[in-house]
This record gives sequence, structure tokens and C-alpha cells, in this order.
Amino acid sequence: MDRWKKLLQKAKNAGAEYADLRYIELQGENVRCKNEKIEDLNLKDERGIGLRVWKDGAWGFASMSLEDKGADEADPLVNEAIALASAASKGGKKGELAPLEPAVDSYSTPIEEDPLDVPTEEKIDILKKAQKNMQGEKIFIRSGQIGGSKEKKLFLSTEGAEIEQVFYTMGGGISAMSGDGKDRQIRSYPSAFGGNYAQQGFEFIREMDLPGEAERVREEAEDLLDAQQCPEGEMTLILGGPQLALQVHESCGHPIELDRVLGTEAAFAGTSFLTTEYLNNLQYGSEIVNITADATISGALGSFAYDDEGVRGQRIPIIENGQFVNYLTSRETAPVIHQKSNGTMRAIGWSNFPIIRMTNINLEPGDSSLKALIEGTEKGILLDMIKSWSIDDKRINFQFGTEIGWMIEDGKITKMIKNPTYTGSTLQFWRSCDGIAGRDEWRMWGVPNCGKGEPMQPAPVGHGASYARFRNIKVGVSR
Amino acid sequence: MRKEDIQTIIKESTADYTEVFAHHEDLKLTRFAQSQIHQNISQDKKQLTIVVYKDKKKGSATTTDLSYSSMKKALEKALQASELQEPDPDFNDLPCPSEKAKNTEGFSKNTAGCSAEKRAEGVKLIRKIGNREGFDGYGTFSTQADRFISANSEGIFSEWETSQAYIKILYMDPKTGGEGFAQDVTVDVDDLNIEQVAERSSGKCAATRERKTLKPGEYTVILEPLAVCDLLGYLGFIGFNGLACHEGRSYFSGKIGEKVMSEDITLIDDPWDEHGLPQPYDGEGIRKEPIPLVEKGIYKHYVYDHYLARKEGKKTTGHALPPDFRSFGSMPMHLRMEPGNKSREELLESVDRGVLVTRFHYVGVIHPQKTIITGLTRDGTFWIENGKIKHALKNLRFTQSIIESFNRVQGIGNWLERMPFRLGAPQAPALLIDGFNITGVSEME
Repeated sequence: MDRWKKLLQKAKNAGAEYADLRYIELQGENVRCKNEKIEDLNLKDERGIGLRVWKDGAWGFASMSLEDKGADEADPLVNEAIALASAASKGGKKGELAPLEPAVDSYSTPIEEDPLDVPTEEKIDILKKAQKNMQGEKIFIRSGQIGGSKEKKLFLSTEGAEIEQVFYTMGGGISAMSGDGKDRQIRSYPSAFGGNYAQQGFEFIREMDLPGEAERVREEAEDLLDAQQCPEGEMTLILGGPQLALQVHESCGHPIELDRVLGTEAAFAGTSFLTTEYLNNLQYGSEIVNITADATISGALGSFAYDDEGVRGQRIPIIENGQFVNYLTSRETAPVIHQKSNGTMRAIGWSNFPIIRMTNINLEPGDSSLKALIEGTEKGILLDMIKSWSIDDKRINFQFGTEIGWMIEDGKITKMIKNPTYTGSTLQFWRSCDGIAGRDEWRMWGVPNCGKGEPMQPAPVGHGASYARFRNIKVGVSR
Repeated sequence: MRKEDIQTIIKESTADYTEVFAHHEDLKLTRFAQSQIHQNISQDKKQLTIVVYKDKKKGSATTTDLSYSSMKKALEKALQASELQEPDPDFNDLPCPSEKAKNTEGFSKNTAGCSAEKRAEGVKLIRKIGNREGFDGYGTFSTQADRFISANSEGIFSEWETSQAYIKILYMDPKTGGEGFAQDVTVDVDDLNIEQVAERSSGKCAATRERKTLKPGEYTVILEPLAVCDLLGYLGFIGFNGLACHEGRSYFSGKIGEKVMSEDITLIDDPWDEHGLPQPYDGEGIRKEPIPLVEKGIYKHYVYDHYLARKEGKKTTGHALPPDFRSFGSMPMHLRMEPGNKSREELLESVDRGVLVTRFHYVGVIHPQKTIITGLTRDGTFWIENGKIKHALKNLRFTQSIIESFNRVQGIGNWLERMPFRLGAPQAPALLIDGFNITGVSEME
């Protein structure tokens, strides 16, 4: 640690008014299996450092991978970062940083089984068993993966922060692709695009019971081939957990990022319709909609003790009884709305500049149940598991496709439907929510690859969701 | 990233076959918002992946520490990983050295040595041009130099450098919400004409001050080159991808020799094109060459990496991705749709009532085999009436098959634009398409 403290001192000597650094060591293992054949077994080892300096009201950031070339290996970062800050500060407008009491602390993800200590053979065995159980006449691709990592992160700042955090991440899933010469369909478990992820140990994979769920996945993938097409029209929509998680992610999680609101993602991911005059002044959803940003949930993928500015992870209300009440903020953006940072700045790995990221953005449980939501639906569809997604650059107009759906008629599920899609406008959609299932059906979903930033920083974030019902939604939009 | 160390590691490997891919990326990136720099970064990243096959059993390991001792550890890990595998009956061997690659001149010292000051000067110019109309500038100015080594135990040792300088400028009018966008990418930063890009973006922004809504329906559209580049990027991934073709997941599976799009369309994957961020070698160190994929609407070739080619009894076409990405398939990264003969004015004159699209946003794939995608327009969408732009439109959602739209081409622009996409840059002209499915409008309430 002394080596890095000296580096910060050098940055200060070179003119930095403030500096922080992240030194990171990461080990990971990823096993990918296709049709009972191990397609990839990769072990990863990363080590690097990122130095951020604040000078004349602007940031400069420089990072490098490390090779044990001696105590002064990272010294070139100082001049590089200072030069970048100096060039950035010549634009005229100067920023300010919200005050922060520096923390000296340590944290480690609570786990039962270290993902990297579990023998690789066991991971392979789980995937192969699951894929064997997905065998079927109409199944032509069976795939699955299990990945785990351990990241040790040291954060130091010239204000005196010294924070050591260890994050364990574990995740995986399976999918079956079916075909009959006329059509192709896919089913996944527990979530699409690689499965579900969490900050947990290998116990997370054991609880998934991939081999146990595989047969159902196969059956649904085959049944989808003969299912009816999703109907077109306006009707009641019930979303299942994994799909609701993505709905929250795209139409609530991204719009509340204050850096995005202020335009720093404008030319890439876009801006947000949620401009600052709407703070405490917008009916975002119906009165039963409550959304929180919670970095403190044990085991959830978007949790941490401190963000990458050294601000304590927090649970904050975002939407209370349908009213919009908070953004996700950082030390630089919070003063714009006269607040202190609520601790959502994260960088992916050692090489990237921290930006505002979702933590765990959750649709809090309601007082209904899936059974009651279905029974209260005269004509509608129940959809689940993301298959395609798209939303505009201000996060207003969205269109999602899911792997599977079921028709609901007169309060009962009647048949399976395929190629379902639905589309809508963010505020209309959330205001039409008239039922949310309760705590018993509520769980966390991990999204390991939330896209934002240039260069792109795929971030691990989480979403808590149960089931929710929405009225008068346009469904079945496709060609 | 010492060549000698990599050669030694390959020699010391006890595997039957050993492959090493090393990448040193030096990225400098300046992001700006409200015409001010808010993120100014430098990334010096090294990464090396070792892949081994022993008794047809594969293992791999990746490290960011490129010292000899760390590479040696990675080799040991890869060998350990291979011990856990079962033999892959589809694995035959690794590729042998190919002919020396053409010097594609894809590297510029000017780009590699571009200073933070020079990028800041670029942002200053963008601010100045924006201030003229009261527009705020948003975007990125980046310069990147990459060095690659791809080597294997069969004697391949390919080493090459590339660079790219990228500017994108979104002007926004704080008074009206108008938006305009333009961008460019070059090998040499001195070839980037920032002023010209800024003027194009500013012109678009000025034209979008008032935006009207449009009812969903089927419309004639002119897709400007950046929108077409986006479609080409997706078609490369879900359509031309060799693995997707092999597994029957692609529209093009089994369609070699068939007419798949308008006879006016010719598509070439051209890694030698100086305008398309050229690459001399693929991810396996194999010499890359231009290959026609669609000639006058007829589908001509699959693309392969060595593994897939051997499996199908063919020869690699030089489309391997680096080892870490190889499970995605083999993909064309330098797609170029050949230009037509229509100027922008002539394309506009051909339209009685229709929509002009500057670029797309957040495209999602709905049905890969049918190439149906959905997405939105952004940063300059216009209504055309009687051959002229009448007014700007609010952003629109489309849901459309790429192949279907490429079969409805009524006119092709006579100029090309390019857009960076992973290791290359697709290039495309503007297309006039008769019948494009608009399925929604982006409106607040």
C-alpha cells in the first residue's frame, strides 16, 4: 500500500488538487459448454492500476496493466493524468466536488464456497448433466456456462481514504435452441444471455439446479415451435421476474443516472427524458410503484460497501408511491442538484474512468400474487425472459421481445404463445401498473453486462422484481 | 510484449498445439458534453491469451502481465485446463503460415503520438462552430494505437500494428431540443477533418429545430450511410457469421448461389481498403484478403476461421476472431457495400412522400433467421415531400427485416461513409428503400 500512497503523493506534487487510485487484482474462471462438449475453459488473471487526478476543476485519468517492473512502474501515470487534466481544464467551465469524509475500511462479499476453489470438474459435470437432460429430437443447440471471479480492489485518495474490498461474483445458466425446419425457438434458465449472476459463492450455482430444470427448458423450447404466434393488439400484460428486471433496468435504471441527464452520455447511449425539473415533481408510475436503488443487499450483483469515489453504498428511494424522488449521483454531479453523492460511481476493472452506474434497482414487492394477477385478467398475456430489447436515446419509447408467453383468458392461462413482443412509452407504461406480486415471489436478478460509457464499460448490476401487471399495452409488434 | 518471450513460450509448451494471441492497446479518449471536456483518459492495456491442445483437449488462459514469468504461469494454467477436458473430435490442427500479408498501411505514427492538447484543440473548434448557432457539442475524440502478435506452434508468427482516430459530434440546441450528428474515422489523425464533421452536424441540428410526429406505417425511406453501416454491422453478426451459417441459425445458411437481395447490391469484405480501418491478418495470424459476399444480389461465400473451415473440409478465409471472442463465430469486419450513381439530391428527388434517416439507435434483433430487427432513429429524422425535405420528425421506431429492405432498394447513393465496428469499419452508401416499417414514435406522453 505504501507504494501506491507514494504515487498519490507524486500526483499531488505534480499539481493535482485531489487524486485517487484503484489497484485491482482479478482472477476468473469461465466454463462454456455446447452440446455436451466443453467449448471453452478459460482462466483469467488481471492486474492493473488507474489513477484519477482533479486539477483546475477537471479530471485526468490514466491506467496501465502491471508487470512487476519495480516500485516506480506506474510513475508515468502521474504526468499522463496531469497532462490530461490540464488539457481538459482549458474549456472554461470548472466543476466542483461534493465534500466527503474519507473512509478507512475493508469489505468482502459474504460467501460460503469460493468460486475458484470449487474443482473445475464439478462445474463441467453440472453443465454436461444439464445438457444431457436437454437432449431432444427438435433440439439442435444445447448450451450453458458457469463463470466465477474474485476481484481485490484497493481504493486510496489524497483525502485519506483507504478502502480494501473483495468481490466474489458467480453466475451461469443454460439454454436450448429448437428447430423443425420451419422455425427456430430458444428457452433459457434461469435467465437469458448467459444466465443469472450474483455476488455469491458457488452455492449460487448449486441452488440453481441447472440439471433439474433442464428438462422443462427442453420441453418448452420444443413446444414453442408449435405454439401460436403472439396476438396483435392492446391488452393486459403480466411480466415475470427476469423480464420485469430488464424493464426496470431500461425504463427506470438508465433514466435516473444524473450524468446521463446532464448530457455526458448524449452522443453514445443517449440522454434522459428525466430532466432536473422533474425531481420531486413527476408521477412516474401508479401509486403502487415503489423503486429503490440499493447497494446494500447482501449477495446481489450490484452491491458494494463503497463506490469508486470512496462513498458508502446506500439504499435510496427512487420512486415513492409513483412519485420520482431521487437520481443516482456522484461527487461531481450531486452539487448540480444541491446534494451530496449517493455513491453510485463505478469503473469496470482498473483501466476505466468511473461513471454513474446502477446499483441494485428494484421494483419493491406489492401485495398481490401471480395467481391473483392472472385471476384478475380477462384477456391478456404473461411474458417472460428477454429475447430482444430496444429503447430510444431519451428512454421513452421501448420495444421488448421475450422467449415465451402464455395467453390469459377469463382469469386463466390457456395456451403458450411464441415470438411475443410489446412496446410502449415509459411513463404511460408505469402509470398503467395495477398489480405487483409480493415478497414471496420477489427475487434478485443479476445483469452482468449493463452497457454504458466510452470506452464501453459492461457493468454488473442487479434488479429485484416479482411479477407485475400492466393494462392496455400494445403487444405483437413484428413483421 | 517481447517477441522472443512469446516464441520461447510456444517452444516450451508440452501441448501438441499451442497458440498465443497478444494485444497491446494504447487508447487516448476525450469525451465532451456542453462543449466542455468531462472525461480525458489514457489506457495502456496489454493482454495475452494462450490456447493449448493436448490429445485434442483444449485449455486456455489469459493474463494482463506480459512478463515471461507470468506468461509461463498462464501456459501452465492452460495446460492444467486442458487436462480437465475431453477430446474434441472436430479439432484437427492449427493453421500453418500463410503467404505474407499485404502491407495494408493501417498504422499512423501521427495517431499513436497524438497529444491531449491536440484533442483539446479539436474540442475547442467544435465549441466555436457550435457557438455560432448557440448549439452545445457532445461527443468523443479518440486516438488509438494497437499492436498485435498472433503466433502458433505450426510456425505462424504474425505481428502488426493498426491505429484509428475517431471523432463524433452531436450538436444539441438547448432552446429547441434540436439534434444533429456526424462522425468520421481515419487511420491517420491528420486526415480527420473535424471542421467538416462539425459543420455537417451543425447543419443537421439547425434543420431539426421543429419536429413533427408521424403515424406508424410503411414508408419510403432514405437511409443515410451511417444507418446502413449499422445494418451491415448486424448483418455481419447474425447473417454472414460463418458459425451461424454452419449451425443453420443464419438467413444465409444453405443459400450460396441464390439471389438474396436486390441485384443492385454488391457487398465485399475488404480488409485492404484504406478507408475501412485495414487489417493485414486475422485473429489466427492468417493473411486477410478481400472476399465478395454478395455480387449483384447473389450470395457468394461463407466466411471461416481455421477450426470451422477444417470441420467443413474447406480452407480458412481469414475471418478468425481473437481467441477470447472466437466462440461468437467468424465474422466479416470490413464490409463495404458498393456505391451507386445517385447524388443526395437525386435520391431526395425520387421520393414523393417519405422519411430521411441520419442514423439508428439501440438496435435489437427480434428474429435472427429472418434478420428482423427493431430500433429507433435519432439525431436527424426528416419528412420528405415532393423531392424535398419539408420538416424534421420526432424519433421513430422501426421493426424491419434487413434482407427484406435490401430487396426493396430503389436507389443507391454515390458516396460512402464508414463507422468503426470492433476491428474494422463497415462502409456504406445511402439507400432509397421502398417500404420500411415504422412501428412507433418516441413521444413523452
